Amino acid sequence: MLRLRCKKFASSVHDLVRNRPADAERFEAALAHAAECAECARRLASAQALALALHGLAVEDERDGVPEELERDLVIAFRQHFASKERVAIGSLPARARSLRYAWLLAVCALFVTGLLIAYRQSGSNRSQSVQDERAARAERHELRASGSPAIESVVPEKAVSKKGSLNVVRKGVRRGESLRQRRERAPGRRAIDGDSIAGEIATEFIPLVPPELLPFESGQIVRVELPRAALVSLGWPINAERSGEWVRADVVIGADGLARAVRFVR
Amino acid sequence: MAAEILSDQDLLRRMAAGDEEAFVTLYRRWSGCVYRFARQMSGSTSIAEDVTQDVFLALIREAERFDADRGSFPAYLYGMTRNLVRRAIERASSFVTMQDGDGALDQVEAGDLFAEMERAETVARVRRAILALPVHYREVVILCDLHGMSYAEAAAALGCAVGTIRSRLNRARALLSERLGSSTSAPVETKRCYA
Repeated sequence: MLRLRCKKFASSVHDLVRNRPADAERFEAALAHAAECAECARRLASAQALALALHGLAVEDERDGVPEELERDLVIAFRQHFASKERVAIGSLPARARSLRYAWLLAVCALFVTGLLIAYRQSGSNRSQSVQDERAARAERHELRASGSPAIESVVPEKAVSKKGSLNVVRKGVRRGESLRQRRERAPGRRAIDGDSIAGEIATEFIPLVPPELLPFESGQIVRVELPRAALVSLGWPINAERSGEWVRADVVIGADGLARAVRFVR
Repeated sequence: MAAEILSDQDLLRRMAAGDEEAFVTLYRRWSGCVYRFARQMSGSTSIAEDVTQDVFLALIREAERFDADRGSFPAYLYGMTRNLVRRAIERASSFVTMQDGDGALDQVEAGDLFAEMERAETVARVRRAILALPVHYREVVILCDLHGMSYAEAAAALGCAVGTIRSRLNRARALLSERLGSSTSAPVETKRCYA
């Protein structure tokens, strides 16, 4: 038969009481020991009383149910939680659309900035081109004055050299693809050679310098220049020899490629 | 398949997918234990209600946090409850007395009145004695002696070794016996026995 000593009995008495049905042999040994030892009998009685009291408390608490409204509230919370999750899932679509919109906005901004940069560079190159043109015009003017027979085509566009030697920029836009006739018709205040005038000026018709079929004209500028009257000879115009040293004003149509297309004289 | 016969883990999985029936089943299966444990630990009905609500709200929001490889669902649930109760007790800072105590007397027949009064008085004293224990003793007594957990289950719920549970429980029972000594038995004294 299993025998227990007091130390072992004291350390296991509560477990023995608690596991009584499962450990009957051990419990019988404990009972046998308690019958011989008064102190261990007291320990056993104390453990049994405590177990009984705790069991009574457990039974008492078993009666207490969870308040019903707690379940109701939690079910509502459960529904709300999953409803909000669905909302989040649906809400992600507009979020994607928003990000797409931002991407488009960024792309437009990028295009705008790129356009600005291109325009800035073009204006910068135009400025540098203007400086070069100015120098070339001066040199050309000196050559013309020295030789007295300049070629119209070599007149630098956009700049007109005044009598005093200063540069007067005269720019008049020509629409892309617009013929000279159309351009003339577009300017109602301007008359042809017979009566064509601007602010008191009288101008001839534009005289083509290059046949249009050989050198198509798409866009360009009109540049006012001053030429020695002797230069009219190269265009087949008669000149008065006495006045060959005088200067005449002319509007030269310069194409985008820098070549002169037509000229007219202004008085 | 009826939700009632599903395991806790299956219910939890369904619940995480939005199955309300699974949630209700899981709640009805475990809410009593959670509520009682919280009430026994705190001695307060309102704390018990709050903790029960918080535990199941946490389950609703983070059901996927439960990892079966790390322990059983009851251990996970009791562990969560214990942490929340401890926090609630710390917030309350002072010991909470029983609010609705032992209302069982309201339903007692006249003939059993004295017996019921005695029983209710005993229950109240045991409850007070448990509440007077330090928290780490209290929780092992409640889990092992009131909720019928094994040492291993209690160790898993409290996150400590089985030996720790055993030693704490012995100490807690000794303290309880001392405090309840006048009504249950004489205090246990450690004396050398030559039997």
